[in-house]
Amino acid sequence: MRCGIRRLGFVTGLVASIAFWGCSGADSVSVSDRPDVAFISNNAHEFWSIAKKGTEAAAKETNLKVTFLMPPQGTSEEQRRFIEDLMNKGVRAIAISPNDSANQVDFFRTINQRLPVIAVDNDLPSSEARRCYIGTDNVAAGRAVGKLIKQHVPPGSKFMIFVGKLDSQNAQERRLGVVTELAGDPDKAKEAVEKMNRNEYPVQFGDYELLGTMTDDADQAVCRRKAEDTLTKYSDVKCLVGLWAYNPPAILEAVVSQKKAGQVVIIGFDENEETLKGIRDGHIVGTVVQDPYNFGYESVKLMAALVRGDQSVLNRPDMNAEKQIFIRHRIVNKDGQTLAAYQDEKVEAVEPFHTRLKELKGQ
Amino acid sequence: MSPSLLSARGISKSFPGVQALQDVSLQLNRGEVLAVVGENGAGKSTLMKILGGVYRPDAGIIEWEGRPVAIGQVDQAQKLGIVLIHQELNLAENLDVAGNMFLGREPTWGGPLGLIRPRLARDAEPILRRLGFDASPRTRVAELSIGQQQLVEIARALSLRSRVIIMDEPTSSLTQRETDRLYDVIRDLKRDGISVLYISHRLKEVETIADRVVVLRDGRNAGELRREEISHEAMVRLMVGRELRQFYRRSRHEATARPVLQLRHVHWQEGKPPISLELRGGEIVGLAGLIGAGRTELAETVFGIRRRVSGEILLDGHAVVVRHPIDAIEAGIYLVPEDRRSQGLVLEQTIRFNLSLASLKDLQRLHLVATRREVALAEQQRRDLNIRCPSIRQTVALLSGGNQQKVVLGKWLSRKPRVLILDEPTRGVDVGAKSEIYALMDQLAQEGVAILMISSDLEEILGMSDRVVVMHEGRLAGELGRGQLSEEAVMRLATGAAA
Amino acid sequence: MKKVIGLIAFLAIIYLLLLAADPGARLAANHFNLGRRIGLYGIISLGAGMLIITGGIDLSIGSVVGLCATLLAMLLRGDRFPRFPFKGWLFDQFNAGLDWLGSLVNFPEHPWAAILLVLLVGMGIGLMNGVLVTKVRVQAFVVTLCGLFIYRGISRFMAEDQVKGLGNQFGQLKSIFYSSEAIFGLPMSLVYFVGLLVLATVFLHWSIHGRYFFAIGANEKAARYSGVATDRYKILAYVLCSTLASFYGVLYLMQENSAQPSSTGNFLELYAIAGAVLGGCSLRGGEGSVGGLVIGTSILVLLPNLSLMLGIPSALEYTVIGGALLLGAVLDEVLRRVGQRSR
Repeated sequence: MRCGIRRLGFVTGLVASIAFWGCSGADSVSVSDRPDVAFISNNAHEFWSIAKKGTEAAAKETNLKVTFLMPPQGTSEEQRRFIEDLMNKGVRAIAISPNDSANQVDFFRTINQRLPVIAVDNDLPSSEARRCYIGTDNVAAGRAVGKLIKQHVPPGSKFMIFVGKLDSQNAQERRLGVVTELAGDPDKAKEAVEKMNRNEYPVQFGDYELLGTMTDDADQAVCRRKAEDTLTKYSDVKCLVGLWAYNPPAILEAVVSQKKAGQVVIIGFDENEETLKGIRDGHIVGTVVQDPYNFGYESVKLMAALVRGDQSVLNRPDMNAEKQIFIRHRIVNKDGQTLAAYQDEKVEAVEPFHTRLKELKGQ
Repeated sequence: MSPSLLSARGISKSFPGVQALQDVSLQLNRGEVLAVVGENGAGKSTLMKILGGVYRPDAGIIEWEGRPVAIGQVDQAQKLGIVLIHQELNLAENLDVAGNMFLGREPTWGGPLGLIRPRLARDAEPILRRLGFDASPRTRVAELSIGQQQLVEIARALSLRSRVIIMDEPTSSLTQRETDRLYDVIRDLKRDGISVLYISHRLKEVETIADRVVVLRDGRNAGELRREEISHEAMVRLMVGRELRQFYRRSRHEATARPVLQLRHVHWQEGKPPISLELRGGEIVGLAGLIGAGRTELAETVFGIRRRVSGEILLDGHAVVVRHPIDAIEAGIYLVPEDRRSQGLVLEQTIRFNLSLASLKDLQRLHLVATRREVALAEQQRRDLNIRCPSIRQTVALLSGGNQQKVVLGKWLSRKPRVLILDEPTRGVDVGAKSEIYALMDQLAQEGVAILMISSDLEEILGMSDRVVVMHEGRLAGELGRGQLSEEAVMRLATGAAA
Repeated sequence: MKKVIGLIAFLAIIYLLLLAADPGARLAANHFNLGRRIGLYGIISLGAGMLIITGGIDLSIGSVVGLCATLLAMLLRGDRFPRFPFKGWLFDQFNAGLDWLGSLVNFPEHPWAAILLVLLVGMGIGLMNGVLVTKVRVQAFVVTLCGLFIYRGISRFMAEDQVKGLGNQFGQLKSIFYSSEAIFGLPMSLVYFVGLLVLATVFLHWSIHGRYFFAIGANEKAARYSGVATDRYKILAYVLCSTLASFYGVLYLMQENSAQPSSTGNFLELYAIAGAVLGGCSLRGGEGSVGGLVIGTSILVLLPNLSLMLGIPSALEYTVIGGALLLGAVLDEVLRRVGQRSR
């Protein structure tokens, strides 16, 4: 045993000397001309790897060092831990997609006092908690989904919504957008959402009947299983809507496995490879895509300016009075045709969109 | 003269805090039954484990047919032809007899998946028949008696084409009849030129079966006895280094007239004839019977481990409610269980922990363990019971069987027992510790404790009991007073012949 | 004891590496953060550890945390609880019970009553787990794995899948449970943890009840044969574990300001069990110490911090944690063997 302890002592001493050497190297957080900034996503999905490309491009242009972090569990607790540690590490600005924006306000208010915070994808409901917001208008994107339903699903049909978690802000907003578009009037939409929150399904609005909202805790396999069960239980369901990126592929697999391809309309969200393939093959009528690349690109550009003391960016022309920059969503369908119900939406065909996406991902 | 089959010279082995063996030597010849005897912790088991490849010696040479060999692992020993049958049987209870015999080397047809069960049974059959094993090789081991399981272990050893079989306490759980059968088997093995190393605490067995005896004491050779020299007294003399004048010690004294413990129509199973029994203060009642006769079950029922379905238990004439051992302990009824390793001791813990476990409620102050009193209690028990250990902080698992049993006894003796139930109190305990335990029982009886001793060792039953109660198939088969005691009388009742 | 020495050395190595990794890691602020996290994780590791010492296991810790945090948030907000969407006498009684409870106390005005209720819920869950394991004799793994699903479902149903936040109310409570630095400038969770640590040390290592815990874990039968009320102590261990989980739920809510019914506490049981096992508790029971638990938890908290300070991509964080723990376990085993041989 004595020998073991001696060996231990040796290892400890070695590590201590490394530590000392490390300590003597940099004793203060130096202000270099290549400042550190951080981008924190709200989970670890593929969506954010496109945003990461955007941050990298902007970092090169602005000579910044960007730390890009994705919380593996997707909780606000992890985000807090990342931010606390990053601040000790000396980052100068943070862009974040807050997981629980409503309740993280106080936390971000204190952070925003010490360094610039930019909300991405999910806004913080207080102007003191962040300098500005960059992201999709999720209610408007939800309305675009509603427009796809109106275009492709006959009135009087029943449909089902699939989404990862309902306690997420964007899930709530997108669903609200869908309901608002179909109900045609915000008051009726509100009433319908309240009914949905009380689980009083089915809910009728406009010409459509919503059978329910299926959640899967961000698990694609669970989503597929629930989609299969839905098809079994409701033989008359006409349309399945997936609001998170992995939902449409899961739904598509379920529809194919239940031999209902062509009988059920699938409408998606985001640009999962399988979703795009489904559109190309005609199994999915369309998807509403966001522009994560620009989330990353624009937020780093803004951080670069703020870190170097340029406050004028906060008055950019594309920013509204609430300091929000909306990056437009788009409908992607097979041929890029603007159909009757798509009014006011940007539409793009799947082929060129996919090619551009592959370039962004470096494939 | 040709070299002996297996010889060990100058073997030493130490464990943390214990010098288990020092410069020990022995020779084993072809077709010989060599008994190794010795007291508690004399190093018998360690020596056998070294020969069986379980332990590696610190020093010394092992020779096989005159050539030095290194036996570092069990399979190396098996390759030479040495098989060790442990005291605790190592059988897979969920497999059948044949499966156990060939476990790990099942004959296969082309690859590991082609396991052919009938062939296993066919291969097992002749070996089992040679041992006089009467059940089918397809029987699950869990359904066999301990004696039959022992035979399966031996069959396994034979199937390995062993030339040396080491048996560590083979009869500790066997009935008399099973023991006799084992003797026959050993004689057969001998005739076939197979050598047997036989470890036992039961000197009477050694007298019966051994060709030669090697005695160990405190990890060293204490002497050797040739066939004609073997006698009980000679062995004991070498083992303890002194004469044991009286092995079973019973001082004459009168038991109290009034019973301390009364069982009235007690049973643990519905629809069985209930059992009534009285124990008076100061008497030792032997409870005899074959394995499975319900002796342990009765003890467990009295102690609150088993649910009683009928009858009542009276202490000093007053009914006591015993639903849990806590109630029994409260009343002063204590049980030294049959299997000390699984029921009596927390093996990974210290002697002190085990000695105080049952008395913590009396050793507390504000719910905290009063350490000084606890240590005092443990030290006292260690002294009183002569528990041999470097310190009371020693882990119980490292003690020999006899010393472990003393710890189980010590757990109760600090609490002033009224009734003490001892289930196989000397199983796996060597002769020195045995006589100490007997002396202790005698002393307790003199102090007025009522003792119920369950034992499969007839010699012990006859030597220690004032009275013997015999059970057969879950009921009382009869009772024998001091004057009526004989091995035949007990066996007649135990086998149901007298019913 | 030997085991703890190896662990301390491992912790020291990680700590020194952390100090060397980045100047920011040496800041007092970083130590404050680490202290707070150790306090939080420590509380559940303590519960899990005590249970593991008796030979039990609780896989429902994370879900209990989620349920309790969500319940407390809803009580404090004065939210209406949803009705069970089933008819029948039992459910009617249950709903009536909810009404009665709501009319009894105005929880938003009496937050302490809400906290007490939540702790009682934790206790009740532990009691139920314990009774199912000891009296009904269902395997602990099964009972608590089912609990993992059940309580998660209840919290989601209860909250109707909405995040339940406290906004900027209950500043005083948040101060008491989280933000105050009144006690030696230490993070509050660490203060609570130290307090619980003292109690746990006395209970586990000095009291007769702790002795029984160890005896039951190492050999339940022998403990019963020695007159230990084994079932009662096992139930107590489950109650302690779940109650500490509900207390963690309270601290979590006060710190995070909201409870996410679908994700709050996810995987926490694995961290708790890992902390306990790393700290020397054997999953077979009967082994472990409070000191070891503290060290195990500390290692578990330091590793992600080290990973970030080293600038390792977040995708590799789990790998770093797992790899370091495995390395530690291997080193520990090797050192012990070297120690034995040299004696």
